[in-house]
Amino acid sequence: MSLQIIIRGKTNFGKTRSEQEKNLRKEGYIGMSDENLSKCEWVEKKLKEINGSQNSFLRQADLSEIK
Amino acid sequence: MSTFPDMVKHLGGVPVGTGYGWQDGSTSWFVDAAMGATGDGKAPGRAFKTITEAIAAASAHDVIYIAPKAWTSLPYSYPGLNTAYAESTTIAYAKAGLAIVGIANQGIVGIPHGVVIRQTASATTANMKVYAPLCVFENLAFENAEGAATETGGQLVFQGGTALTYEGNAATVYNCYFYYANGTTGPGGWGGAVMTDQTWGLTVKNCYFLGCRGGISFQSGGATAGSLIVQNNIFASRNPAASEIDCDVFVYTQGATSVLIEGNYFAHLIPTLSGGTRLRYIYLTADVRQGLVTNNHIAGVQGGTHLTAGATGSAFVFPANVSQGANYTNGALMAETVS
Repeated sequence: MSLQIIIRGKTNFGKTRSEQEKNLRKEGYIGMSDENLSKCEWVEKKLKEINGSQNSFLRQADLSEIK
Repeated sequence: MSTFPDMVKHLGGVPVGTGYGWQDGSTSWFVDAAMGATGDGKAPGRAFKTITEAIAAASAHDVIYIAPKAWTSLPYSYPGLNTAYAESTTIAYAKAGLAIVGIANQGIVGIPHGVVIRQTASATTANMKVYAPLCVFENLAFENAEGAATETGGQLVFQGGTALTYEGNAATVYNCYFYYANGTTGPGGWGGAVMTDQTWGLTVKNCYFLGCRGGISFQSGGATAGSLIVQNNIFASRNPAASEIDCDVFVYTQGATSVLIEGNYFAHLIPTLSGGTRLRYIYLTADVRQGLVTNNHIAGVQGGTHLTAGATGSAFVFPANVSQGANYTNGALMAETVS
């Protein structure tokens, strides 16, 4: 008897924007500058500390404002 | 702008954080025209071949990553855009919060120029028309084929006006490139590169406009609604006389509650479009209730004169309830004219 595993639901390319960006880079692509990626990781860490959020989308328009 | 104690900033009252674009369970979709056959779009190796397919598959708060097509040296693609996705697409209301992000091959300089979107043969259709609120557009180029029919429909167009059907509100456009938007119809008199019709809110940052008859034309959804943020953009002309430009930033009938136009560089002389109706860098009609125009620079020597801002300004026109900060003409502070 064989076991068939059926995966339902949506795909997930990464829970956070930085995770998605890193996965893009593994595929040979780039969607934001290294600087914005660094800011993105920093803000995600802060958000996680503040409200426990592990699923966040950060717009580059916002990231560019972080000095 | 306010700031958290930990320096996480708020922008225009919109907090940095969750709520836009991806949410838990959101799906990422992929588009790559180089695919041999279209896939299910759920991984880079199974990408859709067209943007249309991806938008159709996407739900609210999903993200669509678009890979660039091959580089081309077509003459109308100055300064050398990639081959365009020749698709006119629409984003329906149900796809609120959709993020569309151009991606480049690693190592390629010029991310925003890689993924190019051009309207289909029907020039009356926008390159991309958005009926959904809270959408995000990053790293995309929109172009009109020079020599082709006049592009009357605008390039990236946000439509409002009908509750729960047309609500292209509060979009964010970042790091995008707009080339040769030369429309002549639409609200305000032209199909701008970025154009809104009866929407509430728009943010345009770090974008580059080249040879566009209208750069940003903004019409809000009512006399008491709508905010426009235009920051750190470059507006350029393909010729020194700026003869194909009418107005770079135009806010008109049923204007905005608040407008912030800051840190932009207008890299051309005063617009001289034949038949142009505004012929200014910035033109805010009297409907705009509050606003700030500051730290903007305009290019070059304007016939030896310093241009002005205000109700009768020669460069920037805005009503008395809009404040002018420090704007610069020929390296000098721009004087304000009051009618």
